Amino acid sequence: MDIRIFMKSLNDIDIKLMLCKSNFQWKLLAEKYDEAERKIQEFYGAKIPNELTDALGRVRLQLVEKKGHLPPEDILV
Amino acid sequence: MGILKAISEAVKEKAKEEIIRYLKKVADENGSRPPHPRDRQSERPDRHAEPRREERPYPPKERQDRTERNDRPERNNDRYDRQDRQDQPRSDRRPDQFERPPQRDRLDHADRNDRQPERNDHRPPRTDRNDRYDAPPQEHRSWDRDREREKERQQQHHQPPVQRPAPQPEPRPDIRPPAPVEQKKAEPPITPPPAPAPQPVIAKPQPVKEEWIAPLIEEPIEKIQVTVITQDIVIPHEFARTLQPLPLNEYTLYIKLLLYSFSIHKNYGYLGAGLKKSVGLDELAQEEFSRLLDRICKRGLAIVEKISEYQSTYTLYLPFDPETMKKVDEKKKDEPEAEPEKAPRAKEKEPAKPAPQKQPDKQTGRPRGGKKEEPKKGKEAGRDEKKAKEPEKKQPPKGRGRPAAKERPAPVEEPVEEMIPGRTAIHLDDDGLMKAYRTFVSMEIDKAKMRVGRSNFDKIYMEAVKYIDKKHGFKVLSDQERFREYLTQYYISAFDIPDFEAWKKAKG
Repeated sequence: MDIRIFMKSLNDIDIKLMLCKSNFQWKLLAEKYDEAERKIQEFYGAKIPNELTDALGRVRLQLVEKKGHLPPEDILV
Repeated sequence: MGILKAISEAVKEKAKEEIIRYLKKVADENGSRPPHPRDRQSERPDRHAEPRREERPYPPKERQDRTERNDRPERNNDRYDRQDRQDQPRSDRRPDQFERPPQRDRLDHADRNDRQPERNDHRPPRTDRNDRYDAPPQEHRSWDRDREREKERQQQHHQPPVQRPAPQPEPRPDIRPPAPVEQKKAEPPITPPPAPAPQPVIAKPQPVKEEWIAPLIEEPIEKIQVTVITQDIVIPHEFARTLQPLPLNEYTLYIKLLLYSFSIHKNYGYLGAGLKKSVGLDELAQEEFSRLLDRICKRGLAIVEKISEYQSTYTLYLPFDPETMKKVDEKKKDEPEAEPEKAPRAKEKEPAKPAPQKQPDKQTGRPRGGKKEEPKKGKEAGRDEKKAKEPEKKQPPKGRGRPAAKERPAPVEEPVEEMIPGRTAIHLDDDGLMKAYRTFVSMEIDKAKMRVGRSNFDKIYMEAVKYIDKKHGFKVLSDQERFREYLTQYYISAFDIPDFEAWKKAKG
C-alpha cells in the first residue's frame, strides 16, 4: 500500500512535468520530487524497493531533461 | 328576237359600266383611306362626333371589325336587337353563348379596359355577339372619353396617326419614374464624398498606435547603487503624488520594481523571466509585462536598453532621499567624512576608477554583497569581523576563474572599511573590475550564442544542466543562485572565456 502511494506521487510529478512550461513550475516539481525522495528514504531507510529506486531515477532524469528544455534564466543578474 | 338580244346586251353593257364605275368609286374611296386598319381607329374621333358616341350605349372599340360594324347603323340596330334579346329570361339562354369568358390580353389590366386592337388581333373573331360582357362598366366610360380626347389632341398637335405609339406603355413610365429619377439625380453628388472618406479612416489607426504618453518625470535616469540607512523604505511625498495618476497596472509594476530595486540595492538589472518572477509577476504574460514596462518608460520612470539580441537591461527611476539612503560609491568615498552627500547620481560610478590600491581579496568587491551588508553594518559589528575572514577562505575557488562567485554575498568590505578606511578604495577598485568582468563574460556568452546558433546553444545548455546535476547534485538545479553560478562557470569553460585573473592581466 505504501509503495503505491509513493509511486503515485512520483507518477504525478512525471505527468505534471509534461505540462510544465516555466522554470517556476519546474522548481515546484523539483521540490515535490525532493520531498518524495526524502519521505521514501525516511520510510524505507537503506532498503528502498527497486521499483521505487527505478521510479526515482526515471523522474529525476526527466526533471533534468525538462530543465534543459526550458528557456535558460538570466545568467548574470 | 334580235331586238330582245340587242336590248339585253345593251342592258348588260350598261350594268357593266355602272358596276365598273361603282367599283372605281369604291376604289377611290379606299385609296383615300389610311393603309392600315389601325389608322381607322385613330380617325374615328374625326369622323364621329362626340354626341354620336353618347348615343351609343356600348362603344365597342376593342376590336377593329367591331368598330367597322358600329359605323353601320343597320349593324347597330341589329345589336340593339340582340341586346333586347338578352332581356329574355335567363333560363332561355344558352349557357355557352353568354357566359363564355371574355378573351383578354395579359396587359389589358394596365389599360383599364381600354384594350388595344393590335394587341388582340391574333385572336380569332368572336362568334358570339354578346357585347354586354365586353362592354366596359358604366363608371369607366367617362374615363375612356377623356383618353380619347387626349388622343385627339395628340394627333392634332404632334404627329400623324400612323406613327402614334400604343398608349399602353406610356402610363407606366409616367407613373413610376419620377421618384427614382430624382433619387438617382440626387445620389451622384452624395456618393463621391464617401469615397475619399475611408482613406482618412485607414490612415487614422497609425497615429492611434503611436500612443503618446505624457512623461511624469523628465529627470535623466542613471544607474545607481544605494543602501537604505533605516529599515523603512521611504517614498517622497511629492513623488508619491506624481505617481498617483498612473493606471493601476503601471502603478503596480513600478512600485514592485521600486521595492525590488531597494531589495537588490540598485536600480538596474537584466530584463527577463527572472525579473518578472522576482517582482512577483511571474504569472503575468510576457507581452503584457513588456507593454507595461514600455509605458513606464514613456512616462520617464524607467529606461530599457537592448545590449544584445537576446538581452536587455532596465534602469528604474529611484527617488533618492539623502536622509534615508546612501549611494554606495559615494558612501564609500565619503565615509571618512561621515556626512551623507547629495551629489548627483552620475558622479557615483566615476570615483570608483581612480582608486589606486588593489586588495588581494578580489571577491569582496562585489557590489551586491556590499549593498546588502551596509544596513547590517551598524547593528552587527561583531559579526563583521568574522565575515571579514570568510572571503580569504573563498579566494582559492575564485582563482579558478569562476565568475559565479561574484553573485555570492561578500560581507567583508564594510567592516574593513570601518576598521581600516584606506581599504575601501581597494574594494572599490575590485568592485569596478568585477563589474567590468561580469559585463565582459556576459558579452562573450552572447557572442558565443550568436556564433553557435540558437539550437546549438540550447543543446549546450541542456548538456550544462545534465553536467551540473551529475556533478553538484539535483538540488543545485532548484537553487537559482547556485545554478547560475555553475552554469556561468560551464559556459566559461565551454566557450573558452578567460577567467578573471587572465582577463585582468590581459587588460593590464
